[in-house]
Amino acid sequence: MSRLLLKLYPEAWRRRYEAEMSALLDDEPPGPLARLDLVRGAVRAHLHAISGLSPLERAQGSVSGVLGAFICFCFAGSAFAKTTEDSAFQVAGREHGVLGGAHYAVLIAAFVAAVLLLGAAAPLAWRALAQLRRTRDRELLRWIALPPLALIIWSGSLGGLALWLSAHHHRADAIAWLLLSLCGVVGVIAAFACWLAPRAILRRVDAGRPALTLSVHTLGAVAACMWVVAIATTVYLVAILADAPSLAASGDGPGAFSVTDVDIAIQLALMTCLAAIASLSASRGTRALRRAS
Amino acid sequence: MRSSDPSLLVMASLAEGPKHGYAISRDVKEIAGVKLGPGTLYGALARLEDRGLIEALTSDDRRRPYRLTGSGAEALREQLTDQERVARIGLRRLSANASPA
Repeated sequence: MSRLLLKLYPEAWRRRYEAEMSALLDDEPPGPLARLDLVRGAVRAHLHAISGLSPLERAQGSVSGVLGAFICFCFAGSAFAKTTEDSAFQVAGREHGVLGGAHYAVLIAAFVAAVLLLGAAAPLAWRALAQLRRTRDRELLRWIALPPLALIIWSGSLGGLALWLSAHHHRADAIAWLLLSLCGVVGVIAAFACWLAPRAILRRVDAGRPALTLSVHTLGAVAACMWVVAIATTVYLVAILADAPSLAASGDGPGAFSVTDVDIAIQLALMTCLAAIASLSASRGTRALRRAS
Repeated sequence: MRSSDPSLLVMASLAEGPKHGYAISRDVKEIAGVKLGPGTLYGALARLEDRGLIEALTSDDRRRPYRLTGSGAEALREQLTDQERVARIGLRRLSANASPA
């Protein structure tokens, strides 16, 4: 368990301190409080870069940071899309300009962020594929294949769920919820794989400064789009409270166990935190590259 | 730095000589009664190393010892002198207030 908690630390940190920390954990097996302390330490380590790293290594770390924040942001964004998917929200959006505009702004900024993320990944993916062609490194091949494979499996699980629901006339029984939960678990594992693989690839590939510079600057734009989504969600929340209070107070989630405005507020809080983490990581990467030049 | 600041406690422990993580943790518990968690301890070690106040020594073992650098010893002396002065003044004032008027 404690060894797994050490995996929460940034790559660079683990390269420098993991062996020592694991020796300390051997000497002094940690209790629950010490485990909590490890988690807190991991969060701090992500927020404060350590010394002894080259600027390019720091920039690589910032790529991982923005990517991780973006993947988590996608979950919060999906939750927002799910909360506001019913036709009542579309009708309210058409009736109230600010509400509808904010919803469109969220969708457009999310789309632009996704395109920019692909743009940021492209130069690094190109370098990785070039190195793979040159070296035929099987481990590198496995890491490169992992994200598409994970996404295919996740899409397959969603497709299977859709087929099952359609065959059972969209019955919302316990089996349907169980299958939905399984899809969720597969989605989380796939997301984790999509975050882990680029980290491992960057460790093995000589990304080169130009490709890294392009990626880090594009990731800065991704972080800016995440802020736009968060701001548009804020406007949406305010507008729904002002213009459609009954919709804001309506039930949300399975069996309407939650309330729409509370759910959107939680999603917004998550989005804001993740946009802040992404901005911090991107600016750290930019600073590191500036120092490298 | 506060007297319970993990960085200060680690530096005070290293003032005795080079120590590795576990030895620092035990020493801090003994001298200050503070149990530093592994995340806090290595957070402090990383910060101090980053600022050049301590340095890691080479070791064949996973347990890597650290020692105070010259500027680390200087910074520690300064901090402890400040704290000693504040403690002395505070104690003197307490004694003055406690004595009958």
